[in-house]
Amino acid sequence: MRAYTKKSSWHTAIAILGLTILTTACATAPTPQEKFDPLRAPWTAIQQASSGKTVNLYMWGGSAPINTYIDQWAAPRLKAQENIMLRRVPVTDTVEIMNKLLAEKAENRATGTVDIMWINGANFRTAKTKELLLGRFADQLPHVQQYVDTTAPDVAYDFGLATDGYEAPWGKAQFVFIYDSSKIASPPKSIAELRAWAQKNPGKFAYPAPPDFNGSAFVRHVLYEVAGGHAPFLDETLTEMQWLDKAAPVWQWLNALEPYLWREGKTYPENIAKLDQLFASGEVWMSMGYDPARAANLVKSNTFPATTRTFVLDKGTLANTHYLAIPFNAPQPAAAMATINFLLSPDAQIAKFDPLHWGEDMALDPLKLSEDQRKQLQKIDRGAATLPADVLATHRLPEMPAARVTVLEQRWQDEVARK
Amino acid sequence: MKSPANNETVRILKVVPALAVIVLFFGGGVVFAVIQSFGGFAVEGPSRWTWEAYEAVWETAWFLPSLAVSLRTSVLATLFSAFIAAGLALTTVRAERFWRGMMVIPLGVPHLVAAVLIVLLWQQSGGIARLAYALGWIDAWQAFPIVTNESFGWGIILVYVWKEVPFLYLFLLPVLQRIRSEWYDVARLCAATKWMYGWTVVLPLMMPSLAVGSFIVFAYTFGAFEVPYVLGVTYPASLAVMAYDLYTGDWSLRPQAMVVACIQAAVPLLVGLLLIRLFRRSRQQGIGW
Repeated sequence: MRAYTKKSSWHTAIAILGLTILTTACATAPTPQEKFDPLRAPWTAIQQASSGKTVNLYMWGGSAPINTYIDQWAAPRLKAQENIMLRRVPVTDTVEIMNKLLAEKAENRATGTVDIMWINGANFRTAKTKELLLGRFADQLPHVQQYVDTTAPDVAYDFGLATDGYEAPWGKAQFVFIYDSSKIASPPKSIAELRAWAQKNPGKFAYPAPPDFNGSAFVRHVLYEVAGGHAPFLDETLTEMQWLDKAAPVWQWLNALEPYLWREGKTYPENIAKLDQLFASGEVWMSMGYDPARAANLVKSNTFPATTRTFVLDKGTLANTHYLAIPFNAPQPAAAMATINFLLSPDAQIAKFDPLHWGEDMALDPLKLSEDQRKQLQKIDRGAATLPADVLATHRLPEMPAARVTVLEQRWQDEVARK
Repeated sequence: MKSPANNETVRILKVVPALAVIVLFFGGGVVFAVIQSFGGFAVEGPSRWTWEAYEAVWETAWFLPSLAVSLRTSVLATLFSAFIAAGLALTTVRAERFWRGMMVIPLGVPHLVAAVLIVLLWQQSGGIARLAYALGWIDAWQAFPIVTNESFGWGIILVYVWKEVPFLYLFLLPVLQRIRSEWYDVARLCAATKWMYGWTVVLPLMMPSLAVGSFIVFAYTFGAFEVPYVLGVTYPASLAVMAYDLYTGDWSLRPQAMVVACIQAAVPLLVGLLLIRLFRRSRQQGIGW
């Protein structure tokens, strides 16, 4: 009984709050519950509205450590702190969520089943352009306001598309170069220095042939440095002719590098596994990859020598961010926001950063953390081969639109491989 | 008592499940690929019947070089395998126990694993180069000849020979074991030398099996993806690797991927038809059992 009165009293409170904030929209709404707009409500109201609710988190379920992090680390703490039940719903491909939402949108179904979804890149493009998202919720979250650098290009743009607060960053992957410190005393700091190094050490450098994901990313680093920065390639007002024209120097540069590559560029490692193997056997002295912790893991498994280290370029390396978003018809939008806010808390992010749980980079700006939290971060042993979080965080470059990446990979075949 | 006709029906029925799988999945896949190569079942844009994808593939810079890679590696691998297997089978037919045991090992290794093994052994920093360096045969591993990932395709041929010699050997052995040693004595009575006996008696008896076995090897090596992917060069890559790149690339390239796949199926088909014609003719000449 008591609980009931308490509940209805804060419903009224929210209704009044909603009325004061939204003077127009509330007029036609039949019940106080539906008048509540989480996108405009103050944070305390959102917390109250989400208590006792169950939230469905739809996410790719193919990784055991990630699933364990959600089920065993995050869910119990979310229940204890915010009284929200977190239900993880695994999908094999995030496109499935998009298809489900597209179908629900076509049917005009106001209340769906997905509260939160884990997306980025092409799926975010679909979700944003087809209006499958709740709205600009991210800037409302206290932890986003407090700890996320929302102006950083790799947060503000998701593969070239402005995020505009429709999704909140959850974690990051970043490209690093891998080298053997017993053979290279001071690694190159730029693409230009890398070529100078390769010329001095012919045959010791290689990159996987695009369309290998990592080889393709290497080509984009060269592109950004030799073709005037990343801006023109993110600029979607340029036509394909225009941006490819600007990209032209990259082919000259790569062809000039070719004689100094492994096997004089007559062939390229077909994928990152081959490059890693050549690096492990000492045939080449550098490897690379879109995962800052991979080198350390391979040192741990004795695949790479113990003297293996990683480096980033002074101008930065490509990073892509993955995000959490709320669909337009989420059954519990307020609880979804509270859950995402919880997942962006320093505690949740530091735990996720620990290789014991998941081991991936934080979405938070380490420089915005407290002294204590930063000490906590430094205590986590990610291996000597992994760069510190603040070094990675201050050296990030944004990805270009995915469609352009494909074009670039095809051009590489014509301009580099077949010449 | 079952009538012979009934037996026949039972026999056919027993084949139906296997046949159904082949017709449905394999045959269905082939039909689908052919239709898509002519512009049907388009993944992007409207479907329409067209030769465009065939023209596009023909006009690319890579098509003829890739076809050359696929033909060169598969023909040479087939010839080498056939000669080595025939030679081994002929010389070891009376002592096959040991050899049969030896041959089972490569037969059980998947092609992909064999390819990776060859890379680890034969690349410039590989096991054999290290051994040669340790023995003082070469001054540095860089002096070791390049046999993996070079443009002729020796590495690819090496894997195929290692894998297909045992296959052909075990294919030929039962045939050779049917040849009775008394036949040789008879031939000797007719004043035949060892070589004449081999040429006029053993070879014609062995030929049909060797030809069929070699055809299977050719059809497989011409179309297989994993070995040239691991041991080939970036350009020119084999047709199978090109088909894979096109298939996993942009959606608009799907018809071209199917064109390459169709060519990969058509070449062994033509060779097979040619072989059947040759068979008919040689049968009339009394070759075979």
